[in-house]
Amino acid sequence: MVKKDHIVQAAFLELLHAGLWETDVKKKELFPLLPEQWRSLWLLAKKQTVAGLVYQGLQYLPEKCWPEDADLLMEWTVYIDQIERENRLQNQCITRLVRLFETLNIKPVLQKGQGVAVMYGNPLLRECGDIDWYFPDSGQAAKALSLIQKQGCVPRKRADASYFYRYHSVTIEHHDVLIDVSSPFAKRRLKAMEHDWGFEKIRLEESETTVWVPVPVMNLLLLNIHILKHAMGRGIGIRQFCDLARAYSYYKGKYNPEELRSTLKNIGLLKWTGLLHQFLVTVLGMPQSLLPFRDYLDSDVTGLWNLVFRGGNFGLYHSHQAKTKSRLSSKIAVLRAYMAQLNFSRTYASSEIGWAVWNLIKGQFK
Amino acid sequence: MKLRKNLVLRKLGPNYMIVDVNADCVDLAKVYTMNATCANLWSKITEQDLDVTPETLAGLLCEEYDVEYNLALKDVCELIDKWKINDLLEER
Repeated sequence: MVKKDHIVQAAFLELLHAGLWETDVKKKELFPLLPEQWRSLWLLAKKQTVAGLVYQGLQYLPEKCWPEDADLLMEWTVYIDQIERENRLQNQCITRLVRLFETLNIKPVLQKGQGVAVMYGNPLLRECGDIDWYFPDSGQAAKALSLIQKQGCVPRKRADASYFYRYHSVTIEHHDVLIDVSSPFAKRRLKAMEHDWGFEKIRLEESETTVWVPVPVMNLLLLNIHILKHAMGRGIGIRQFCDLARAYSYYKGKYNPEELRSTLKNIGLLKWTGLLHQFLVTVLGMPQSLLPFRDYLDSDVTGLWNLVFRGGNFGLYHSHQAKTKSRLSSKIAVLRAYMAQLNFSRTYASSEIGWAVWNLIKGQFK
Repeated sequence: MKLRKNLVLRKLGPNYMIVDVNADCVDLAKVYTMNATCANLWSKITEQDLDVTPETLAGLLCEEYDVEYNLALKDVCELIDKWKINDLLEER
Protein backbone atom coordinates (compact mmCIF):
# COMPACT_ATOMS: atom_id res chain seq x y z
CA MET A 1 0.00 0.00 0.00
CA VAL A 2 2.80 2.37 0.97
CA LYS A 3 4.63 1.50 -2.22
CA LYS A 4 1.55 2.27 -4.30
CA ASP A 5 1.20 5.65 -2.58
CA HIS A 6 4.83 6.40 -3.38
CA ILE A 7 4.27 5.57 -7.04
CA VAL A 8 1.31 7.96 -7.18
CA GLN A 9 3.31 10.73 -5.50
CA ALA A 10 6.29 10.16 -7.78
CA ALA A 11 4.07 10.14 -10.89
CA PHE A 12 2.27 13.25 -9.64
CA LEU A 13 5.58 15.09 -9.25
CA GLU A 14 6.80 13.95 -12.67
CA LEU A 15 3.70 15.38 -14.35
CA LEU A 16 3.88 18.50 -12.20
CA HIS A 17 7.51 19.09 -13.26
CA ALA A 18 6.58 18.61 -16.91
CA GLY A 19 3.63 21.01 -16.60
CA LEU A 20 5.48 23.60 -14.55
CA TRP A 21 8.60 23.75 -16.70
CA GLU A 22 7.01 22.62 -19.99
CA THR A 23 9.52 19.86 -20.44
CA ASP A 24 9.33 16.20 -21.30
CA VAL A 25 8.38 13.66 -18.61
CA LYS A 26 11.68 12.20 -17.46
CA LYS A 27 10.75 9.05 -15.52
CA LYS A 28 8.48 7.54 -18.15
CA GLU A 29 8.93 4.12 -16.56
CA LEU A 30 6.47 5.20 -13.84
CA PHE A 31 3.69 5.12 -16.45
CA PRO A 32 1.11 3.90 -17.25
CA LEU A 33 -0.49 3.79 -13.82
CA LEU A 34 -3.24 1.45 -12.70
CA PRO A 35 -6.75 2.94 -12.97
CA GLU A 36 -7.02 3.41 -9.19
CA GLN A 37 -3.58 5.08 -9.14
CA TRP A 38 -4.67 7.52 -11.84
CA ARG A 39 -7.75 8.30 -9.74
CA SER A 40 -5.54 8.91 -6.66
CA LEU A 41 -3.19 11.11 -8.69
CA TRP A 42 -6.13 13.17 -9.95
CA LEU A 43 -7.44 13.62 -6.39
CA LEU A 44 -3.98 14.62 -5.18
CA ALA A 45 -3.68 17.19 -7.98
CA LYS A 46 -7.08 18.65 -7.02
CA LYS A 47 -6.23 18.67 -3.31
CA GLN A 48 -3.02 20.56 -4.05
CA THR A 49 -4.86 22.87 -6.51
CA VAL A 50 -2.46 22.06 -9.33
CA ALA A 51 -4.84 20.02 -11.49
CA GLY A 52 -4.23 22.45 -14.36
CA LEU A 53 -0.46 22.13 -14.18
CA VAL A 54 -0.60 18.34 -13.92
CA TYR A 55 -2.97 18.32 -16.90
CA GLN A 56 -0.39 20.40 -18.76
CA GLY A 57 2.19 17.77 -17.77
CA LEU A 58 -0.02 14.99 -19.17
CA GLN A 59 0.43 16.53 -22.61
CA TYR A 60 4.11 15.56 -22.44
CA LEU A 61 3.32 11.90 -21.80
CA PRO A 62 3.22 9.44 -24.73
CA GLU A 63 -0.38 8.59 -25.62
CA LYS A 64 0.08 4.93 -24.74
CA CYS A 65 0.76 5.99 -21.13
CA TRP A 66 -2.43 8.03 -20.74
CA PRO A 67 -5.24 6.99 -18.36
CA GLU A 68 -7.69 4.66 -20.07
CA ASP A 69 -10.55 5.61 -17.79
CA ALA A 70 -12.76 7.77 -20.07
CA ASP A 71 -14.82 9.01 -17.11
CA LEU A 72 -11.71 10.28 -15.35
CA LEU A 73 -10.52 12.08 -18.48
CA MET A 74 -13.91 13.72 -18.91
CA GLU A 75 -14.00 14.77 -15.26
CA TRP A 76 -10.51 16.22 -15.59
CA THR A 77 -11.35 18.04 -18.81
CA VAL A 78 -14.46 19.63 -17.32
CA TYR A 79 -12.39 20.72 -14.32
CA ILE A 80 -9.76 22.30 -16.59
CA ASP A 81 -12.45 24.10 -18.49
CA GLN A 82 -13.78 25.52 -15.22
CA ILE A 83 -10.30 26.65 -14.13
CA GLU A 84 -9.92 28.58 -17.39
CA ARG A 85 -13.40 30.11 -17.08
CA GLU A 86 -12.73 31.19 -13.49
CA ASN A 87 -9.44 32.78 -14.52
CA ARG A 88 -11.17 34.70 -17.29
CA LEU A 89 -13.86 35.78 -14.84
CA GLN A 90 -11.21 37.00 -12.40
CA ASN A 91 -9.43 38.96 -15.10
CA GLN A 92 -12.75 40.60 -16.06
CA CYS A 93 -13.37 41.42 -12.40
CA ILE A 94 -9.93 42.97 -12.04
CA THR A 95 -10.53 45.06 -15.15
CA ARG A 96 -13.88 46.29 -13.80
CA LEU A 97 -12.38 47.15 -10.42
CA VAL A 98 -9.34 48.90 -11.88
CA ARG A 99 -11.67 51.06 -13.99
CA LEU A 100 -13.89 51.73 -11.00
CA PHE A 101 -10.97 52.70 -8.76
CA GLU A 102 -9.51 54.88 -11.52
CA THR A 103 -12.62 57.09 -11.39
CA LEU A 104 -11.30 58.35 -8.04
CA ASN A 105 -7.64 58.09 -9.01
CA ILE A 106 -7.17 55.16 -6.60
CA LYS A 107 -4.16 52.98 -7.45
CA PRO A 108 -4.33 49.59 -5.74
CA VAL A 109 -1.61 46.96 -6.09
CA LEU A 110 -2.51 43.42 -7.10
CA GLN A 111 -0.99 40.86 -4.71
CA LYS A 112 -0.14 37.36 -6.00
CA GLY A 113 -3.06 35.74 -7.88
CA GLN A 114 -3.46 36.84 -11.49
CA GLY A 115 -0.30 38.91 -11.16
CA VAL A 116 1.60 35.66 -10.61
CA ALA A 117 -0.41 33.70 -13.18
CA VAL A 118 1.21 35.73 -15.97
CA MET A 119 4.52 34.10 -15.00
CA TYR A 120 3.26 30.67 -16.05
CA GLY A 121 3.57 29.18 -19.52
CA ASN A 122 -0.22 28.91 -19.63
CA PRO A 123 -1.60 31.45 -17.11
CA LEU A 124 -5.17 30.22 -17.50
CA LEU A 125 -4.28 26.80 -16.12
CA ARG A 126 -3.16 28.15 -12.74
CA GLU A 127 -5.98 27.63 -10.26
CA CYS A 128 -7.04 30.95 -8.83
CA GLY A 129 -8.17 31.92 -5.35
CA ASP A 130 -9.35 35.36 -4.28
CA ILE A 131 -8.38 38.73 -5.69
CA ASP A 132 -6.14 40.51 -3.18
CA TRP A 133 -5.64 44.25 -3.44
CA TYR A 134 -3.10 46.17 -1.42
CA PHE A 135 -3.64 49.89 -0.85
CA PRO A 136 -0.35 51.65 -0.03
CA ASP A 137 -2.23 54.79 0.98
CA SER A 138 -4.69 54.57 3.88
CA GLY A 139 -6.77 57.45 2.54
CA GLN A 140 -7.16 55.66 -0.79
CA ALA A 141 -8.02 52.43 1.04
CA ALA A 142 -10.93 54.17 2.82
CA LYS A 143 -12.11 55.76 -0.45
CA ALA A 144 -11.99 52.36 -2.18
CA LEU A 145 -14.15 50.77 0.53
CA SER A 146 -16.68 53.55 0.28
CA LEU A 147 -16.74 53.22 -3.52
CA ILE A 148 -17.33 49.49 -3.28
CA GLN A 149 -20.20 50.01 -0.83
CA LYS A 150 -21.82 52.40 -3.31
CA GLN A 151 -21.72 49.51 -5.80
CA GLY A 152 -23.87 47.48 -3.41
CA CYS A 153 -21.04 45.35 -2.00
CA VAL A 154 -20.87 44.70 1.74
CA PRO A 155 -17.25 44.63 2.92
CA ARG A 156 -16.61 42.76 6.17
CA LYS A 157 -13.58 43.18 8.39
CA ARG A 158 -11.35 40.25 9.30
CA ALA A 159 -9.31 39.74 12.48
CA ASP A 160 -6.15 40.80 10.59
CA ALA A 161 -7.79 44.15 9.68
CA SER A 162 -8.28 43.21 6.03
CA TYR A 163 -11.70 43.52 4.34
CA PHE A 164 -13.45 41.04 2.07
CA TYR A 165 -16.58 41.09 -0.06
CA ARG A 166 -18.11 39.41 -3.10
CA TYR A 167 -18.02 41.20 -6.44
CA HIS A 168 -19.46 39.54 -9.57
CA SER A 169 -19.23 36.12 -7.87
CA VAL A 170 -15.56 36.58 -6.92
CA THR A 171 -14.18 37.11 -3.40
CA ILE A 172 -12.17 40.32 -3.19
CA GLU A 173 -9.89 41.27 -0.31
CA HIS A 174 -8.44 44.67 0.61
CA HIS A 175 -5.20 44.69 2.61
CA ASP A 176 -3.29 47.48 4.32
CA VAL A 177 0.06 45.68 4.29
CA LEU A 178 1.94 44.34 1.28
CA ILE A 179 4.07 41.74 3.05
CA ASP A 180 2.55 40.37 6.21
CA VAL A 181 5.36 39.89 8.74
CA SER A 182 5.04 39.97 12.52
CA SER A 183 8.48 41.21 13.55
CA PRO A 184 8.37 45.04 13.88
CA PHE A 185 11.94 45.27 12.64
CA ALA A 186 11.12 43.25 9.50
CA LYS A 187 7.97 45.35 9.03
CA ARG A 188 10.00 48.57 9.03
CA ARG A 189 12.64 47.19 6.70
CA LEU A 190 10.10 45.88 4.18
CA LYS A 191 8.05 49.07 4.32
CA ALA A 192 11.19 51.11 3.63
CA MET A 193 11.98 48.88 0.64
CA GLU A 194 8.43 49.30 -0.61
CA HIS A 195 8.88 53.09 -0.51
CA ASP A 196 12.26 52.87 -2.25
CA TRP A 197 11.20 50.50 -5.00
CA GLY A 198 7.54 51.20 -5.59
CA PHE A 199 5.54 49.13 -8.02
CA GLU A 200 5.39 48.28 -11.70
CA LYS A 201 2.61 47.77 -14.22
CA ILE A 202 1.88 44.49 -15.96
CA ARG A 203 -0.71 43.38 -18.51
CA LEU A 204 -2.98 40.50 -17.54
CA GLU A 205 -3.51 37.41 -19.69
CA GLU A 206 -5.95 37.92 -22.61
CA SER A 207 -6.57 41.46 -21.41
CA GLU A 208 -5.75 45.03 -22.33
CA THR A 209 -5.87 46.00 -18.67
CA THR A 210 -2.67 46.93 -16.90
CA VAL A 211 -2.40 46.61 -13.14
CA TRP A 212 0.14 47.59 -10.53
CA VAL A 213 2.13 44.75 -8.94
CA PRO A 214 5.18 44.76 -6.64
CA VAL A 215 8.58 45.08 -8.34
CA PRO A 216 10.43 41.74 -8.80
CA VAL A 217 12.46 41.77 -5.57
CA MET A 218 9.39 42.73 -3.50
CA ASN A 219 7.23 40.16 -5.25
CA LEU A 220 9.81 37.45 -4.52
CA LEU A 221 9.83 38.49 -0.86
CA LEU A 222 6.03 38.53 -0.81
CA LEU A 223 5.75 35.01 -2.26
CA ASN A 224 8.51 33.68 0.01
CA ILE A 225 7.06 35.12 3.24
CA HIS A 226 3.51 34.15 2.24
CA ILE A 227 4.64 30.51 2.13
CA LEU A 228 6.41 30.88 5.48
CA LYS A 229 3.35 32.36 7.21
CA HIS A 230 1.22 29.45 6.09
CA ALA A 231 3.91 26.85 6.81
CA MET A 232 4.16 28.22 10.38
CA GLY A 233 0.43 28.05 10.86
CA ARG A 234 -2.47 26.54 8.97
CA GLY A 235 -0.38 24.67 6.43
CA ILE A 236 0.55 25.19 2.81
CA GLY A 237 -0.07 23.56 -0.55
CA ILE A 238 2.34 22.91 -3.38
CA ARG A 239 0.78 25.56 -5.66
CA GLN A 240 2.32 28.38 -3.60
CA PHE A 241 5.77 26.82 -4.12
CA CYS A 242 5.04 26.56 -7.84
CA ASP A 243 4.27 30.31 -7.83
CA LEU A 244 7.65 31.13 -6.32
CA ALA A 245 9.46 28.76 -8.68
CA ARG A 246 7.80 30.37 -11.71
CA ALA A 247 8.60 33.82 -10.29
CA TYR A 248 12.31 32.94 -10.01
CA SER A 249 12.21 31.83 -13.63
CA TYR A 250 10.21 34.84 -14.86
CA TYR A 251 12.30 37.39 -12.96
CA LYS A 252 15.70 35.90 -13.82
CA GLY A 253 18.01 38.84 -14.58
CA LYS A 254 15.35 41.39 -13.57
CA TYR A 255 16.37 41.81 -9.91
CA ASN A 256 19.49 41.96 -7.81
CA PRO A 257 19.99 38.57 -6.06
CA GLU A 258 22.33 40.12 -3.49
CA GLU A 259 19.66 42.61 -2.48
CA LEU A 260 17.18 39.78 -1.98
CA ARG A 261 19.73 37.82 0.03
CA SER A 262 20.76 40.74 2.25
CA THR A 263 17.11 41.57 2.99
CA LEU A 264 16.30 37.99 3.93
CA LYS A 265 19.43 37.80 6.07
CA ASN A 266 18.57 41.08 7.72
CA ILE A 267 15.08 39.97 8.71
CA GLY A 268 16.30 36.55 9.89
CA LEU A 269 14.83 34.45 7.11
CA LEU A 270 17.95 33.26 5.29
CA LYS A 271 17.86 29.78 6.85
CA TRP A 272 14.17 29.41 5.99
CA THR A 273 14.88 30.53 2.43
CA GLY A 274 17.62 27.89 2.14
CA LEU A 275 15.04 25.24 3.02
CA LEU A 276 12.58 26.78 0.58
CA HIS A 277 15.16 26.80 -2.20
CA GLN A 278 16.06 23.18 -1.52
CA PHE A 279 12.36 22.31 -1.75
CA LEU A 280 12.00 24.11 -5.09
CA VAL A 281 15.00 22.27 -6.50
CA THR A 282 14.41 18.76 -5.14
CA VAL A 283 10.62 18.59 -5.11
CA LEU A 284 9.64 20.89 -7.99
CA GLY A 285 12.64 20.23 -10.22
CA MET A 286 13.60 23.90 -10.45
CA PRO A 287 17.01 24.29 -12.11
CA GLN A 288 19.65 25.41 -9.58
CA SER A 289 20.68 28.10 -12.05
CA LEU A 290 17.48 29.98 -11.20
CA LEU A 291 18.36 30.25 -7.52
CA PRO A 292 19.43 33.75 -6.45
CA PHE A 293 21.91 32.34 -3.89
CA ARG A 294 22.85 29.01 -2.38
CA ASP A 295 22.95 29.52 1.39
CA TYR A 296 21.65 26.59 3.49
CA LEU A 297 21.04 24.47 0.40
CA ASP A 298 21.87 21.35 2.39
CA SER A 299 18.59 21.64 4.33
CA ASP A 300 16.48 18.52 4.82
CA VAL A 301 13.10 19.07 3.15
CA THR A 302 11.39 16.00 4.64
CA GLY A 303 9.44 17.98 7.27
CA LEU A 304 8.27 20.57 4.77
CA TRP A 305 7.38 17.84 2.28
CA ASN A 306 5.22 16.08 4.90
CA LEU A 307 3.54 19.35 5.81
CA VAL A 308 2.68 20.08 2.18
CA PHE A 309 1.42 16.61 1.33
CA ARG A 310 -0.56 16.32 4.57
CA GLY A 311 -2.12 19.75 4.31
CA GLY A 312 -2.94 20.44 0.65
CA ASN A 313 -4.08 23.87 -0.40
CA PHE A 314 -3.37 26.23 2.54
CA GLY A 315 -3.68 23.29 4.92
CA LEU A 316 -7.40 23.03 4.19
CA TYR A 317 -7.09 19.26 4.38
CA HIS A 318 -5.43 19.21 7.82
CA SER A 319 -7.37 17.26 10.42
CA HIS A 320 -6.93 20.11 12.92
CA GLN A 321 -8.31 22.69 10.50
CA ALA A 322 -11.53 23.51 12.33
CA LYS A 323 -14.28 25.79 11.10
CA THR A 324 -14.40 28.65 13.57
CA LYS A 325 -17.02 31.29 14.10
CA SER A 326 -16.01 33.99 16.56
CA ARG A 327 -12.93 36.16 16.41
CA LEU A 328 -11.70 34.64 19.69
CA SER A 329 -12.12 31.06 18.56
CA SER A 330 -10.48 32.01 15.27
CA LYS A 331 -7.46 33.33 17.17
CA ILE A 332 -7.33 30.23 19.35
CA ALA A 333 -7.35 28.09 16.21
CA VAL A 334 -4.45 30.12 14.79
CA LEU A 335 -2.54 29.81 18.07
CA ARG A 336 -3.07 26.04 18.10
CA ALA A 337 -1.84 25.83 14.52
CA TYR A 338 1.27 27.83 15.48
CA MET A 339 1.89 25.49 18.42
CA ALA A 340 1.58 22.40 16.23
CA GLN A 341 4.32 23.79 13.99
CA LEU A 342 6.46 25.29 16.75
CA ASN A 343 9.52 23.06 16.29
CA PHE A 344 9.62 23.79 12.59
CA SER A 345 9.11 27.54 13.09
CA ARG A 346 11.72 27.81 15.85
CA THR A 347 14.27 26.12 13.64
CA TYR A 348 13.72 28.19 10.52
CA ALA A 349 12.09 31.46 11.56
CA SER A 350 12.51 31.89 15.31
CA SER A 351 12.11 35.65 15.40
CA GLU A 352 9.04 35.63 13.18
CA ILE A 353 7.20 32.93 15.15
CA GLY A 354 8.03 34.66 18.44
CA TRP A 355 6.54 37.95 17.23
CA ALA A 356 3.58 36.20 15.60
CA VAL A 357 2.57 34.52 18.86
CA TRP A 358 3.22 37.70 20.85
CA ASN A 359 1.06 39.78 18.48
CA LEU A 360 -1.73 37.23 18.68
CA ILE A 361 -1.75 37.26 22.49
CA LYS A 362 -1.30 41.04 22.71
CA GLY A 363 -4.17 41.59 20.25
CA GLN A 364 -6.46 39.69 22.55
CA PHE A 365 -6.08 42.27 25.31
CA LYS A 366 -6.53 45.36 23.14
CA MET B 1 -23.90 29.32 -39.02
CA LYS B 2 -20.73 29.53 -36.95
CA LEU B 3 -19.20 27.39 -34.24
CA ARG B 4 -20.42 28.56 -30.86
CA LYS B 5 -18.07 30.98 -29.13
CA ASN B 6 -16.31 29.91 -25.93
CA LEU B 7 -16.18 26.25 -26.87
CA VAL B 8 -12.61 25.00 -26.61
CA LEU B 9 -11.42 21.87 -28.36
CA ARG B 10 -9.05 19.91 -26.12
CA LYS B 11 -6.73 17.08 -27.00
CA LEU B 12 -6.33 14.49 -24.28
CA GLY B 13 -3.93 11.84 -25.48
CA PRO B 14 -5.69 10.09 -28.35
CA ASN B 15 -9.02 11.77 -27.55
CA TYR B 16 -10.51 15.12 -28.48
CA MET B 17 -13.14 16.74 -26.29
CA ILE B 18 -15.26 19.86 -26.07
CA VAL B 19 -16.74 20.94 -22.76
CA ASP B 20 -20.03 22.81 -22.93
CA VAL B 21 -20.85 24.42 -19.60
CA ASN B 22 -24.44 25.29 -18.88
CA ALA B 23 -24.44 29.04 -18.27
CA ASP B 24 -27.18 28.76 -15.67
CA CYS B 25 -25.54 25.96 -13.75
CA VAL B 26 -21.77 25.66 -14.11
CA ASP B 27 -21.77 22.31 -12.35
CA LEU B 28 -23.67 20.81 -15.24
CA ALA B 29 -21.43 20.33 -18.22
CA LYS B 30 -21.76 18.32 -21.39
CA VAL B 31 -18.70 16.77 -22.92
CA TYR B 32 -18.51 15.98 -26.64
CA THR B 33 -15.87 13.63 -27.92
CA MET B 34 -14.56 13.79 -31.48
CA ASN B 35 -12.30 11.75 -33.69
CA ALA B 36 -9.10 13.22 -35.12
CA THR B 37 -10.68 14.12 -38.49
CA CYS B 38 -13.59 16.02 -36.90
CA ALA B 39 -11.21 17.73 -34.49
CA ASN B 40 -9.02 18.78 -37.39
CA LEU B 41 -12.01 20.32 -39.17
CA TRP B 42 -13.09 22.06 -35.96
CA SER B 43 -9.61 23.56 -35.50
CA LYS B 44 -9.45 24.84 -39.06
CA ILE B 45 -12.90 26.44 -38.83
CA THR B 46 -11.94 28.10 -35.54
CA GLU B 47 -8.54 29.30 -36.75
CA GLN B 48 -9.97 30.83 -39.95
CA ASP B 49 -13.30 31.87 -38.36
CA LEU B 50 -15.16 30.16 -41.22
CA ASP B 51 -18.90 29.76 -41.71
CA VAL B 52 -20.06 26.22 -41.11
CA THR B 53 -21.50 25.22 -44.49
CA PRO B 54 -21.38 21.80 -46.19
CA GLU B 55 -19.36 23.29 -49.07
CA THR B 56 -16.73 24.88 -46.80
CA LEU B 57 -16.26 21.75 -44.72
CA ALA B 58 -16.19 19.46 -47.75
CA GLY B 59 -13.56 21.74 -49.30
CA LEU B 60 -11.43 21.55 -46.16
CA LEU B 61 -11.80 17.79 -46.04
CA CYS B 62 -10.71 17.39 -49.68
CA GLU B 63 -7.68 19.65 -49.10
CA GLU B 64 -6.45 17.45 -46.27
CA TYR B 65 -7.54 13.95 -47.22
CA ASP B 66 -7.70 11.89 -50.36
CA VAL B 67 -11.50 11.81 -50.60
CA GLU B 68 -13.96 12.42 -53.43
CA TYR B 69 -15.85 15.75 -53.11
CA ASN B 70 -19.38 14.27 -53.26
CA LEU B 71 -18.58 11.69 -50.60
CA ALA B 72 -17.00 14.40 -48.44
CA LEU B 73 -20.13 16.54 -48.91
CA LYS B 74 -22.35 13.68 -47.72
CA ASP B 75 -20.17 13.08 -44.66
CA VAL B 76 -19.96 16.72 -43.60
CA CYS B 77 -23.75 17.13 -43.95
CA GLU B 78 -24.13 14.36 -41.35
CA LEU B 79 -21.50 16.00 -39.19
CA ILE B 80 -23.16 19.43 -39.35
CA ASP B 81 -26.49 17.82 -38.41
CA LYS B 82 -24.83 16.26 -35.35
CA TRP B 83 -23.30 19.59 -34.36
CA LYS B 84 -26.70 21.26 -34.74
CA ILE B 85 -28.46 18.61 -32.65
CA ASN B 86 -25.79 18.98 -29.96
CA ASP B 87 -26.15 22.76 -30.00
CA LEU B 88 -22.55 23.45 -30.99
CA LEU B 89 -23.50 25.97 -33.69
CA GLU B 90 -25.01 29.44 -33.53
CA GLU B 91 -26.25 32.12 -35.90
CA ARG B 92 -23.86 35.06 -35.98
